[in-house]
Amino acid sequence: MMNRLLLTAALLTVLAAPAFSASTLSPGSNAIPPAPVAAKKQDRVLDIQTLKTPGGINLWLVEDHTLPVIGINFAFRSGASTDAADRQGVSQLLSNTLDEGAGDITSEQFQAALRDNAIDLGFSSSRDSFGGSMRTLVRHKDKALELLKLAVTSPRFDQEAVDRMKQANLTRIRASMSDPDWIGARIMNDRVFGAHPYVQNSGGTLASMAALTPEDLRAARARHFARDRLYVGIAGDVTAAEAARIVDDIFGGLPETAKTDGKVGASDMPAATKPVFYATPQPQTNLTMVWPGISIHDVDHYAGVVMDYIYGGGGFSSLLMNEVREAKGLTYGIYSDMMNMDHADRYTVAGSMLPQNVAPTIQMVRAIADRMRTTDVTAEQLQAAKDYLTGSMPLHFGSTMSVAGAVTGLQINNRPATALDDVRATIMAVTPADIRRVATRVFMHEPQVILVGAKPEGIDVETITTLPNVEGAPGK
Amino acid sequence: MKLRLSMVLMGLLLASPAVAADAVPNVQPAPASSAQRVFDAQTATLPNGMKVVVIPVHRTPAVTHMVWYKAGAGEEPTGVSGTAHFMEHLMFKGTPGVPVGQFSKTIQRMGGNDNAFTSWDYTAYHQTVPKEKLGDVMRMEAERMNDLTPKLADILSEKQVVIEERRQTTDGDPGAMLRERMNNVLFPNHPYGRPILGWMPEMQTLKWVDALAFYKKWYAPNNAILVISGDTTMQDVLPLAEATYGRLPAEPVPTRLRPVSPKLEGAVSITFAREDVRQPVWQFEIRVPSARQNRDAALKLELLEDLLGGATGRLYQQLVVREKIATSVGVGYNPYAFDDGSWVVYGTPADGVTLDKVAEGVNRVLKEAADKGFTEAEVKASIARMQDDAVYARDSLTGPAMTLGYAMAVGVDIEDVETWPARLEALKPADADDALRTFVLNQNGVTGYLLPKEGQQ
Repeated sequence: MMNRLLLTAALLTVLAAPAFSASTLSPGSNAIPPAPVAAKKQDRVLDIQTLKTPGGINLWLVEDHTLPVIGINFAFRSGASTDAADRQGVSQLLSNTLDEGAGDITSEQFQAALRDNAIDLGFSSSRDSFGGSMRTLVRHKDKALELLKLAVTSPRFDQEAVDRMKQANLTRIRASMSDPDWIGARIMNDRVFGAHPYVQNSGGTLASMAALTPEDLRAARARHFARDRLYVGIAGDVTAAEAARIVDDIFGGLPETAKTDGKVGASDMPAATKPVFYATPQPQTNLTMVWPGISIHDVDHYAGVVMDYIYGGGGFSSLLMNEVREAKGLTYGIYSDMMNMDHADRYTVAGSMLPQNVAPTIQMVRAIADRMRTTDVTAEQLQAAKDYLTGSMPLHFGSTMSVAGAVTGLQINNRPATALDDVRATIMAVTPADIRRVATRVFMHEPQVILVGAKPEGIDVETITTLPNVEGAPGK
Repeated sequence: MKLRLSMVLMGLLLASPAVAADAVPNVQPAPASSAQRVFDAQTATLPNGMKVVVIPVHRTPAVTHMVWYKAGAGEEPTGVSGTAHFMEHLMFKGTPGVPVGQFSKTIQRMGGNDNAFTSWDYTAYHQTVPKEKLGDVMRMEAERMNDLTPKLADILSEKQVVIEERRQTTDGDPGAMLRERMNNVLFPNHPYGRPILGWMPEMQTLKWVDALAFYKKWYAPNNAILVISGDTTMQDVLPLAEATYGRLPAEPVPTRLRPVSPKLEGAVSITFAREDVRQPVWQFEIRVPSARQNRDAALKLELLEDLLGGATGRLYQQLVVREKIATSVGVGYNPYAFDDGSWVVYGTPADGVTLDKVAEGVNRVLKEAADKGFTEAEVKASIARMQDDAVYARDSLTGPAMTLGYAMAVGVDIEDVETWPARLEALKPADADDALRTFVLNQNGVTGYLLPKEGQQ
């Protein structure tokens, strides 16, 4: 592989997988923006219909009758950060067990019905939300909707299936323990969120996962599943009337609200300590640097998106990639990333290199960051970033599920249905001074450095030998 | 759900790419009925022999453009492993019209993404861009087919990059280290036994002269396939293809000559143990027919893969659900190979269970399936779901170009892909039984054990 596919930061923060969702508005807010007036379909990035079902549930729909396929995506704004410390991973396990038998249908029957009807059904949990998605052929939609409704409303949580999924998760955790990126993420989470629930391991620890019970799953489900925190996006070969019926049928019976609101408080980044190092027997060292980030609701958010593209998010167009990989050959890849969540924002740079090249790389990363703060980007750099960020929009809507996911993401990020059309002008308005300002807001702080793998040369580190939140409770 | 790569299958050896005598592109007529066709692709051949395939998918105003060269690590001479992949990287190092570092930047300024990949049997370059940029992309890709002009300093720094790529993706991953060693034993005397990225000692001596020789020998329009999916049609593509790729001359390209890999005599086990392994894994790999070698066998093996694998397949239901000796188990068949295909079965043991016990369980399930056979109902359900999955094949911008490119680059006939659902329809339980007994049971293969270092828990 030559390079990895670029993630488009601008769109991520507009559409965003619920994993990166963020909001300052109340999740109970029912304010639906009116459908944009008289914009012709071809003028809009996506022809989104904003609907309210007869049962009162908000639904965003993009009809597309080119293929006999229907995609449904939904998310509850309540996620793994509400898992208790000694029950870390319960939301993850919930996502694995909802389709392991429901109603009168056993696990094996449920899985067979999905597979034999070519129905893709999956659930996922992130720190801030719990979501699901389903894709079906029109000819199997009745069966698909029946199964989805059963999974959402009457999961069985049979002990056998729960135990089997726990074992699968324990296997996943142990297998991840040889992945330096995963190890780095565990250390990062432990160090950059203070005493916030975000320090927890959403996937569970070996101890917490092993302790989970069907009762824990029922409690987690009751915590997440309520209509006041539900966002639904549908795409494909379905009409508005039918989509509304589908949504009411599946979700109409859920409680209006739950005991908790699914929220946790804000998390500031603690002051950086000396670099943290964990040894593994690989030839390279994985380097991660973390700064405080910029919220997607911040006035500087899109300036941050453009800054990030130029600095390290833009693949072969980025300064990091050009100077560290292309000019020096120090690494196969180095990237920056905006990490935006409901209650915390961080900015990261990550790459892997030989241990003797870690110190020179850190020096280059810092030097380029300083340049972003003190020197205007060139007109050409700025235009290239704007051209990519605005021009690449259609690339994100090539499949039924990408469209369904996008319209759910817009809602959970509290964006209006016109956001995809409006973001272009916002990005085009970013100036070199905006970029210096936002770079200063990020890079004025000292980054937390995390190192995994071969022992880096010439760096004073704090060596740890036990991974946080992997075997047992937080910080242990 | 995984994309069904195995969707494609079979066939005829492509005739060696002769230069067409006509001065105009040869557009193949569309088949009479498109009802059951997976992609309903449009095909043509340029006068210089370059194949053109277009899969119209009008969902979003964008296209994926790919050029596949029918040459990969399998075409490297002995002693210079990694050259094909190094060449792939050097393709970004400049032409007269697109200076070094500007290829990907130019694509990104169009609002597009680009990438490339190398396998043993092919090297592919691809860009996904807003549809109005298609002509510009084709001009750039056509130029680097013949006019690459990298500078020495860029070649030397890129050599370090591919070495770091190997350190990151192979040496840093114990599972990848084990797979590399297993392939090396499974394919004696054959390039499939060499890593695509190259062996480290040979990578450290990678040279431009070897990459250049590879480029001159294999990169030619008559050894390339142009595949485009997305919001376009052959009518739009063909004039652009003629004005870009069509201006390149056909060149003499040798026939692929691969050494014969002798049959494995006896079973071989390989253990890879390292401190960073916490989860033991068992796997077993054998050589089976590829789609190019035996289209009918490959179709049967795909059916068998579906019957055995997945959450409702025989292996998972018996070993994970009922016996609980494994926490995961699966099977993978790769029919997309110019030479032998590969068949892998793998499992992770439950707590306190040895890897050999998982192996014994897998063998028991396979033997029982062979003894009792598959039922009519099982096979019908399997065929129906594979046919349903084929409908999803077009629910993607890039997927259709990827799937047809993989198939054609290893010599699978496009018709075998298009008619895959109809060909499945003809399969019977006896076909799955036959594939199991003939190609999978009692075959010599390589067993891999991924283990924690001795003395660890």
